[in-house]
Amino acid sequence: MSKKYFTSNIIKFLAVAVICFLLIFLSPRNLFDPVRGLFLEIAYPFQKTFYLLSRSVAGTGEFLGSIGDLKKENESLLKENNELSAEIAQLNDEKNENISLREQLKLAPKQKFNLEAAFVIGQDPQRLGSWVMIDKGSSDGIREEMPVIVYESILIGKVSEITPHSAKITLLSDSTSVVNVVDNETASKGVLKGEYGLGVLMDMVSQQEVLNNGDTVVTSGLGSNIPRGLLIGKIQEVRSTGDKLFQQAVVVPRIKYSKMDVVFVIKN
Amino acid sequence: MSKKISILIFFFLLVIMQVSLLPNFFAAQRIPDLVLIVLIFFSTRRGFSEVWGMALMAGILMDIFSFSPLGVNILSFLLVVLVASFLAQRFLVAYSTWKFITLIFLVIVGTAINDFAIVILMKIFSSLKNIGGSSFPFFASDLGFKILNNSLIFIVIYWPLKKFENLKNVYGQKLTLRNNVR
Repeated sequence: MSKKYFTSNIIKFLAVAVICFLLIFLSPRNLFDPVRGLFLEIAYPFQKTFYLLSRSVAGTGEFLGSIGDLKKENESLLKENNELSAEIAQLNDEKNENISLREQLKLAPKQKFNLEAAFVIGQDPQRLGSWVMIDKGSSDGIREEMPVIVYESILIGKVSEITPHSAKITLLSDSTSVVNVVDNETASKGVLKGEYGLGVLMDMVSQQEVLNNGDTVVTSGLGSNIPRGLLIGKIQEVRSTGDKLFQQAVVVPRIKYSKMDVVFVIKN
Repeated sequence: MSKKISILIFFFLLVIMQVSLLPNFFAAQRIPDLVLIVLIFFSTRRGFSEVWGMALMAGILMDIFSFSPLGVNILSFLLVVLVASFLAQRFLVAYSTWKFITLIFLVIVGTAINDFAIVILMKIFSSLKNIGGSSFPFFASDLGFKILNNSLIFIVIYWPLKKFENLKNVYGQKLTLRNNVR
């Protein structure tokens, strides 16, 4: 290979590298966002088609692979169903009592969410962020920072970027995600942080607070527009930080983020 | 011009497949880098001077659809294409079995370089913008699985890509002949 050819390649590479570093340094978001929005709008029908097609193929594959486990899972679900039915009956009683007491104390009714249902049409292909794309955007009333849930009360993340017909949802497991949470059993408050797409950690819990394995973690509703009481997951492990000033708890999310089809954006 | 548009459409579809099709078949953080694999394939067959434009285009598309800062994937792909074309010129031989093994090796090296380069650039970006993420681990614990998945995908798409490129070359030659006759 001639030296001239080698040198010209290096020169081309270095020229583009300098431009790329400048782009990274300056990060021209305001200039680049319209371009990104245009490409996302063009890609939207393709993304939706590919994603839904691959979900159905993957679902069929999973079904065939899990036939052996179906009987066991079925028995476990029947048992859980019976327990939940009993719990529902008890909760209905408490709900009626709650409504009655609220009327007597003249309290405002408990908030009902204005939900916008959306299909997931894309996921993060790299390991540094943790996000999904949905098929609803600003034309459907979606705005940045709106919380996103599944199954009515399980929080999965927040809207972070929007185009007219799609939106990016930053998941709780993203390293930039921070949510105020509380241990539902012991009322210990903390901050939920994402761990580079690998999981979530409840951090900054005072040493005086109590955290137990198996406790449920929910949103505390403090300091943001995320409503109180949205389920996050269960505590798997409790430990102290390196400096022993705070406690941390590894939280197992209630839902597997890679297996979502439909999510709901809380608009109010 | 039509060649550039067709390459743009080709990589556009590849990026969408990587973002919207493959995540349903592979665990998060182990999703194969389809675009990277195709770039490595082309760079071993055509050299850096012909493929750097493709890497630039693919990098821009990847930055758009992965919501990365503009420049991260561009630079990473260019680096991988430069290294792959350099190594291919040195080590690629005519014997088909060794050639194929060398290509797999280039995919492995390319995956590791791409992963490392993106982390370095994201660390730089995070510290410049003072946002979380400057403590990304340098190598993911799932890098081995990603390399394996990339190699498997490469094995699957190698011969179709080769056929596609040969067909394109033949079509291109026919077009040139037709234009010359006119």
